Amino acid sequence: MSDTESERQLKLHNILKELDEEERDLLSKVIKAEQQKLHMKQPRNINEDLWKVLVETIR
Amino acid sequence: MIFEQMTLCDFRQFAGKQTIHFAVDGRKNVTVIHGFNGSGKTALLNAFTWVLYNDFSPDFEASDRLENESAFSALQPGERLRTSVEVVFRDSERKYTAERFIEVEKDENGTRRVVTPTSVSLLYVDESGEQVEAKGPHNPDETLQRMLPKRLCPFFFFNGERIERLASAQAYQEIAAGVRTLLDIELFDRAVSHLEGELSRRLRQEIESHTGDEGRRLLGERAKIDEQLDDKVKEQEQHERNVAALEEERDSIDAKLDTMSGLALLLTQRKEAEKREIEIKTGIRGRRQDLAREISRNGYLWLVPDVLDSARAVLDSARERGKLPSMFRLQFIEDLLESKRCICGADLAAGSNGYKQVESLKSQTYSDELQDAVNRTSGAIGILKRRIEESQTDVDRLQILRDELRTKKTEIEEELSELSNKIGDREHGEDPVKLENRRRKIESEIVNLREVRIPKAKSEATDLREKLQQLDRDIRNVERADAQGQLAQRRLAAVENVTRALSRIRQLRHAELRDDLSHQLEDVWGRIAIKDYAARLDNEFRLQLTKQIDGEAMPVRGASTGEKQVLSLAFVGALGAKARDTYEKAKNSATSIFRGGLYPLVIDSAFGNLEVEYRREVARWMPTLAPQVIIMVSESQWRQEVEQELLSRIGSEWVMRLETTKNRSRSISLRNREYSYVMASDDGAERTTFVEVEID
Repeated sequence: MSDTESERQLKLHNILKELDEEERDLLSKVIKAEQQKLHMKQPRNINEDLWKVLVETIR
Repeated sequence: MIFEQMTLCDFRQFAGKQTIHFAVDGRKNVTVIHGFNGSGKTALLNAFTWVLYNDFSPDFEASDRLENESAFSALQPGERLRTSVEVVFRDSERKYTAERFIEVEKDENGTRRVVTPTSVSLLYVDESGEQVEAKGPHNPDETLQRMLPKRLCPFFFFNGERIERLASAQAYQEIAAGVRTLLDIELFDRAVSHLEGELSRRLRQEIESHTGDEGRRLLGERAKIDEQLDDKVKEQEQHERNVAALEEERDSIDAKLDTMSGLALLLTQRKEAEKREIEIKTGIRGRRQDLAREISRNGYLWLVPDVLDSARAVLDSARERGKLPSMFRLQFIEDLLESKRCICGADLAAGSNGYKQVESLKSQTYSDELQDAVNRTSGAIGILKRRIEESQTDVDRLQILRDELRTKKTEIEEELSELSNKIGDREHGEDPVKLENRRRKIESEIVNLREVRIPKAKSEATDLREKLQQLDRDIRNVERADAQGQLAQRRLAAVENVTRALSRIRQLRHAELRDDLSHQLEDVWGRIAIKDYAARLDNEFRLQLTKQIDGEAMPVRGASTGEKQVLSLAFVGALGAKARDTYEKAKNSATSIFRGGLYPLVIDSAFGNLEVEYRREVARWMPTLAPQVIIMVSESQWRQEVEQELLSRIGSEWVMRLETTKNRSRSISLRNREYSYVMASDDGAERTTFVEVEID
């Protein structure tokens, strides 16, 4: 039996709720950084992008 | 990405500059392009893949010569020819123009020379309505790839006659990669891999340099285990690839044996026996799971019957001695003493004999909680004893069932071995002997990989992952870190938490996609299919047809090409529909994590060699699944049933008029009008020209 749309939303919400504010911010920035280079087979400098995001978010 | 128009300039059969407009209306979203064999339907499909990806389909020959032959022949020495494809499209509310071109020159000897290699430009219309170059961090090729990644090309630009490939066992990796990219799984896989990889390594190194010997020791240990895990995962993947290759080889041996005379009966018997073997193995797995469930639920009770007996003995003895149950409740005695009057009416003044007698009864009472506990325990002992008996009976029953199935499994294995001996008997000739010998080895290797080596590698990888997690906890908690080390520890903890959250979101998305795509597939397939098969997408995104045998869904082996084509088309449609659904939801939510997208379907020979019933149904649902459908068809593929179904959905219709050097001509009748389809060229040059069909 698959989940309904609202059950899916609730599960997603619960996962995000377990993170603190800084971590939620980090997660959303990581997703954005990955989206920028998703079209590349080997995303150039992605580790540097993620490092910058981390240093800027967790101080 | 929704295409509005395409302009071809001296591209293959299309001489001069020609523009074709596509249907963009939501309801009338189908563009039909009619073309005779050789008129350039495949070239047009490849015009899309060239302009977007600088790539061609495998059936597109001489892809290094894109220019129109006649136009090149007409060049004088030293003259140049510019061949281009320009496409205008909308993506994420923005209008773009992409153009790819190549320039060749005819030198003094009449030889062709490329003077400007393939180049691409990308413009978009800005807010003021001006067309400007799409600048930014990415070049035009990268920007185009961001809109519709190249690896998705086979799902949206394809030849309908070859699409059955997607339903083959070998295509599952391609399908899985496509689904991952199109529906955002790839993004999460990459994010997890990057966070767990380089980023965490860098943080651990920082911790190491700020935590002395202890940090160094832990990090060294972690690196070793990480390496072992990597090897183990690779080993498991290799085993899985080997199984797929062996199964493919076994199927090809079966196909060869099928064609050999004298083996038909034996092969049919084997297929039946193999089906039964799969059912029995599934049954054994089911009973094993039932047993595990029962033992996990009630197994602990099997260990405590003595404790239950002792508890019952203690309670019985207390009852025999009159200690249980108590005649009075404590609260009752206290209420009497407080009211200073007995229920018989006697006075209970403090310190009086009566008071003392009533007060002495307190020692024979227990707290309400204890009374309740005694009552509950007395009742529970009986229930628990019964549960033990029931559980033991259930386990005995399940073990008997499992053992019966095991016996049947041995019998069927003997039967299969016997059949194999008969098929491989020399009386049928040398070829069956060799093929059957090879088949036996393959079967044995598949069993070994599936039942021994893959589970072993999986279990070892799980152990190594647990060790890594423990080490990560230790590294995070190394004491004596300075301020810099503590910051790195905090960052590592945040990265680990975010990685875990991303993995869980990925799992959710994976389950959602598998369920939704499977439902969509089942729905489309159910409406089209003639046979009583079900279409499904398994956990690894393998596209499968299954059949119900004794309540179990068993894979169908030997589905026809037509069935596979319909299954593949249904899958492509389901994929596009899910991407569109995700896109629509994301548009209405500012916080959506998943993006989805609008993707067209561009199909050469859309209806291939499908039977009438299939054509009709495919034509009916195709326009409902994708926001835009562009199909190229020959006259034989554009039959009555297809036309009837699509007519109300066609927003744009074209004929590719082929001018041939032969004295041939014929017309095509569309919407009660005649259009020239093939005609004799008046200048001796072959070319194709787009002619728009009038739509009332």
